[in-house]
Parts: sequence; structure tokens; C-alpha cells
Amino acid sequence: MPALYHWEPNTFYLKPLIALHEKGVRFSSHYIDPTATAFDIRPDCLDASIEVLNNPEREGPMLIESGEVICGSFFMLEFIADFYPGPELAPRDPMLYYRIQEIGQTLGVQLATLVGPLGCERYLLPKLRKRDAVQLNAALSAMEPVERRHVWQAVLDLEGNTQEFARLHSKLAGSLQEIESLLDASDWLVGEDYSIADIEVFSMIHSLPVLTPELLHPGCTPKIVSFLQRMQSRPAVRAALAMSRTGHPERCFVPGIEPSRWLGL
Amino acid sequence: MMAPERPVLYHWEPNSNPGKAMLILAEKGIDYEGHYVDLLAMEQHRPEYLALNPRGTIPTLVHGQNILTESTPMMEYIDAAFPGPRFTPGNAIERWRMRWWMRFFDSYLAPAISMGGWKRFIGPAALERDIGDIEAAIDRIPLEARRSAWHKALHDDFSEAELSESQRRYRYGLYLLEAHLCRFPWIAGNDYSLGDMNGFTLGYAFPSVQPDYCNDCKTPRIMDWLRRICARPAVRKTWSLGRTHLASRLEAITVKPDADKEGI
Ligand SMILES: N[C@@H](CCC(=O)N[C@@H](CS)C(=O)NCC(=O)O)C(=O)O
Repeated sequence: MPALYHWEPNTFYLKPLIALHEKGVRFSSHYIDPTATAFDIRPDCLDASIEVLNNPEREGPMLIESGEVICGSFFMLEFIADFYPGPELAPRDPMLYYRIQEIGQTLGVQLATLVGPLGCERYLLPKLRKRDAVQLNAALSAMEPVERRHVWQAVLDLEGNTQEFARLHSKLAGSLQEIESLLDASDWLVGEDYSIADIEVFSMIHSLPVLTPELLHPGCTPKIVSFLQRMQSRPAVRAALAMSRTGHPERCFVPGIEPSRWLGL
Repeated sequence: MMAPERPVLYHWEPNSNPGKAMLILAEKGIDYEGHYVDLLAMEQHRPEYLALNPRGTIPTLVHGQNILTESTPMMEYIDAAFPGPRFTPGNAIERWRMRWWMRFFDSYLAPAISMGGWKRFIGPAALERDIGDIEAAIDRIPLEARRSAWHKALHDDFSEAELSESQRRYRYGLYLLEAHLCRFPWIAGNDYSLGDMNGFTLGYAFPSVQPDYCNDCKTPRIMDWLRRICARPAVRKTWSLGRTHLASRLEAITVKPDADKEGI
């Protein structure tokens, strides 16, 4: 039976939860809180040590299948679609498949670099602020790999930085318009059928009606609003969201490593 | 398998993103119409090209009604849509590994490597071309990230911090790749795949650009991997299409450990 290491059903962690439920795969669920382990790595704690030692990305979900550690949430979706029997989650047509991968590589990465920091600013930063500054800095400078330290530092640096906040906000508005126009032709993002592209994008934006309601509402993104409803009515999506332990998965964010060209240096 | 219509590829040097599409087409033995887009003359930002690819990046593949502009997914498309040998592994775990590594090459290693290249080669070489008013040329670039890259290259405006962080990532990437090739003969596992082609369009330059960090002593697995790929006829054929000195970097791979390292 595959094992999934995941946190609250939001952003990166939500993707494999939905896909596994869609496929009807039985899996053992291992709940990890990356905002706790990030600052408190106990080598004797199995979850923390597996996460830290085996996940090259150090954060994000991890699926153990046939002894192999599968990581990278978009590639995990492709893997789940590919490996497990059950309903088709990805088209066989090469051009439609290209479009799914294009969404993963462009829109998916963009959303991660925007939604992550904005969510962290709202919900994680106030918690970090309550911690002892000296301890926090010590934990931060011990963080590996360096890229992960950079994205966590970037969250702390968002404090009071209205210019950067506005930049993220306006880029996110652009990404949402892109999604809105992809939904022009069909109910789903790629072709006529539901696919992992929908899971990818839904997972990244389902918190936005709460986080940035001014950017996502019937007046400005009607197609996205009904897309979210369509997604939320799927039993697999409900089952995935029901795995929340806090009752508020839409408030759970962690920076996440999404290196992009020359940026984030 | 769909009817193989003759594809058209807009490419630059057999290097990085354009190189990936050129190499898979050559490996599959597909006859294609190639158009060399001169990146250094900023031809990719001209209206004719933007009409095809509004992102203004190279490569672009046109196949019948389909227009593809993301090079890594493009490789998978070419492999699936055309007849010929397959370069996508037959099992799902190897396919996952191949894709994870391609993202690592695309998003981590390539940007780290490219910063030095843009500083030392692209910026100065473009300034020798007839690009007209530099600010106007930069303003025409559609993608914000590419605009900022060109601005830095044409004004030689790279900070010490970003250059040294790029170098650190380059070397860390070499370390991870060497460790990976200790576990597996090829990127995806047991067979040569799209992952190796993707990596090779960056890797062919390792020994000449980072001779102190990529050599037979420090990274024997990477050197062996590069030599195995370099021996493939499709690689020779693809690199013969290069028009700048970049393509000559292939030769540093074949230099054997005991040979004189001067002159690389
Ligand atoms: N995501 C695109 C990126 C393509 C890309 O940026 N290509 C470079 C050449 S390696 C380019 O077009 N540079 C031209 C420019 O920045 O103007 C892909 O993977 O194909």
C-alpha cells in the first residue's frame, strides 16, 4: 500500500490527495506539519527524518510507492494518473498531454510563487512573529537547502513591504485572468475532460475566495467561480478536503521551493 | 499514431532549450524544416516571430495546426506523436524520475548556468550585432523575466551576489548529478531517455566551462555519461548545425584524462 506524507489539504499537499481519491487508491496517510518541522527537526522523529532525508525538496508531499520516494507535486499527479488503475486522469492525445504539461510548467509554477507567499504573509507571518527573534534566526540559518532558507526569509521580508505585496497581488490577478480565458472554451482546463490540470490549478487557487476575494468573485472571474463549484462537488475533492485536521485548510500555507529563472536570488 | 506531417522547428544553437527539440528530432530520425532564429540579433522579438510565439522564446515547433512553445513538454510531444524509436521509459517510476530531473535541469541548473553565459557571451555578442536602440530593443521583449535578463546582459548589470549564487547552484547541481549517476547509468534509470537529452544540452558545456569542477577526477560519472551521449550519431548531427563557438565545446568532452588539459 502506498504511503503519502502530507499536511493540510491546501496547495501542494492537496494535489496528490485529490488524485489518489479520484483513482480510489488505498493509501496510508502520514500527517506532517512543515511549519513545525521546519523549525524543529528532531532526528528521532520518523516523519521528520524521512521527510528531511529523502525529500530532495525538503517540503511538499512525498509518496512512497514500491520503495521509491515520489516527490514534486505536479510530477506526482502525472505519476498517479499514470501508475494506478482507475478512471483516466490524463488524456492520451499527445497535444492535449502537452497542454497539461505546459500548464504545470508555466501556470502551476507561477501560482506557487504567488499564492504561497501571499498565504504565508496572512497566516504564517503572524505566528512567526510571536517566536523569539534570536531563535527564529538561528533556525533559519540552519535551514537546508539554501533555497529553502531564501523562500522562508522572503516571507519574513514581506512584513510591511507594501510594494512587494502589491507586485504579487497584481501578478496573481494576471494569472487568474489566464485561467479565466482557458475556461472559455470548456468546463475543464484542457480539452473536454476533467484531468490532472484541473487538480493542479484547483489546489493552488481554492483558498483564494478567502485569501484574495477581491481578485476572485462572480463579477470578475465568473468562469473560475463555477469551476471551483464544479470541483468542490466531486466526491474525491470532498474526501481530500475532509482530511483536514485544523478545519481550515485554506489557512495553511508554507513557502515551498519553486526556483525560477534567475529570480529569488 | 497520427499521420506524420512534416514539422517546422524554429531554433537557435544546439544549446539548452532549442537544443532539446533539435536532438529529439534527430534521435527519432524525423525530417523537419529548420529555421535558425538568431537570438543574438534578438530576432525572437520581431513581430513575425511573435505572431507565432507571443512569448518570444526559442524554440517553437509547428506541426499541422499545433504550435508548441515549451521545450520540455515539446520533447514528450515529439516522442509520442511521431514514429521511430521511443525515448520515454516504459515504466511509470522511470517516467516520473525522468520528469523530475528535467524540471531540475530546466528550473534549477539551466538558470544557474545561463547567468554566466549571458554575462560573458550573449550580452557582448548582441552588442556587436545591429540591434538598433538598446532600450527600444529591450522594451519589445514580451516576458518580464526575459526583459530583465536582457537588461542585465546588455548593461552588464549583474550583482556579485547573484553571480556567486549562480556559481554555487551550478556546482551543487554538478554534485547532485554525479550522485545520481552513481545510482543509475542514465537519468531515468536503465535506458537513455529524453531526460539525458535535456541534461546533455546543458551538460555538453560542463567540462569546458567548469573544468575545475567537472573533470575525470571530480565527476567521473558525469564525464562517462557525457561521453556515452556524445558518441551518438544524432548528437554529432545536431551539433554540426551550430553556427557560434558554443558548439565546439563538444570537443572538450572527448579529451581523455591523461591528455594535456591546456587549450580547453
Ligand atoms: N520555457 C521555455 C523557455 C525558452 C527560452 O527561454 N529559450 C531561450 C533560449 S535557450 C530564449 O528564447 N531566449 C531568448 C530571449 O530571452 O530573448 C522553454 O523551455 O522552451
